[in-house]
Amino acid sequence: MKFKIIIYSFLNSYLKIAVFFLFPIISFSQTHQLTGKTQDSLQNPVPNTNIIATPLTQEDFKITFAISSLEGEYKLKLENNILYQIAITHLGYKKITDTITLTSDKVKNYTLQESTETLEEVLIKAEMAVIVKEDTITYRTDQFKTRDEGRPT
Amino acid sequence: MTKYFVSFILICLLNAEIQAQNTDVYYKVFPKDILKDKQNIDQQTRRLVEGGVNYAKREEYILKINDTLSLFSKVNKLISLDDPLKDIHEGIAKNFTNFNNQTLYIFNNNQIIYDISILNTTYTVMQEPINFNWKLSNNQKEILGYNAQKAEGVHKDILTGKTFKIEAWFIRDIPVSAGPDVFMGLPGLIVELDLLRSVIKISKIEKTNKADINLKIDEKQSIDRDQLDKIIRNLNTKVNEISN
Repeated sequence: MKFKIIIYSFLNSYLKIAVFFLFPIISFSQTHQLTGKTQDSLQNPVPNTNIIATPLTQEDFKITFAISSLEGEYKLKLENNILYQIAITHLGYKKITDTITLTSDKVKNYTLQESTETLEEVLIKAEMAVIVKEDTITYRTDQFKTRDEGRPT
Repeated sequence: MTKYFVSFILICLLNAEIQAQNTDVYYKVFPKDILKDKQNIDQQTRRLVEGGVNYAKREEYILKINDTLSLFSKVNKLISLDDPLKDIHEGIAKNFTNFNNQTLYIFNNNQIIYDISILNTTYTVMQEPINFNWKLSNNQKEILGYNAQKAEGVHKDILTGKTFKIEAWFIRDIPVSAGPDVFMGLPGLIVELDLLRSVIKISKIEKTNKADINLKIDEKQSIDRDQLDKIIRNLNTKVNEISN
């Protein structure tokens, strides 16, 4: 009888400890799938499209990405109830930026608008002195060096 | 199916030059100090390795990109002919990267085609891009004026079967999933790559109007990845038999 009580007491404590440790893991590591297609304005699949998900609210979560298949399909595994910025990029198409918070699996298709921008223009743009990114303007100081700055003192 | 695919590529690409603007990305090799913790190596071997290091430092690779494909290959340079150990040094230098002779990536078909030399035989292999299980990091740094982001992955060596961690820096603003040799699959151009024995760094990007992507693919020797793995397994078995 005494032995049974000891076993019961041990199992009871063990279960409480297990529940204590497992509950946060179960509740916080829940993920959902964002799936869909990347397509052009004629609804043709656009393969090799980059879909990058950056968590905006918590730095602990990793940036994830997917590259769409030949059928334009993509699949991303995102954390539950975390705000993500989704960037969709493909050479020859305009960049799409979206935000999303998942509490269940979701299907979302993205329609890319063609751009006349070539890789050459992308490279030139990156070399420009002023970089405009959404709500911020960054001035690349190395592009504004005057002749005097280069002279030895 | 494979044969038809190769034929299609050959018809489209082999005999015709690609009529599009290219972007040429140049990479240089920075060998790691592999002799650092090896004190027991004799002087002759040490000198040979150091010679190989010098050759590796002079190596330059080019990645030609246009809207439909990328082609990675070595830039041929004239090396002094008065080196009697040129072949040995070149062989050692190759081991720092183990890059294939040339690697083609066709974006729309999601296939890579590369030439790999094994015991004096060159095989042309066609397969889907390798999955490096890339994990993106928040780390960023500036490379050649571009904002580069870090990624970590795992690479399995074709010949030895051993796996090792790799680190890459890529540029999101250049949304081309390409890079040195078979290393690709990130949402941007790879500009720096940390391998087992060397670091590969971008040295310059040039925009060219020349339509000069020429391919030399031998249809008869084209094999898929399973066939390559079988060839390597058979060779390893023979080598083990000889060594035992």
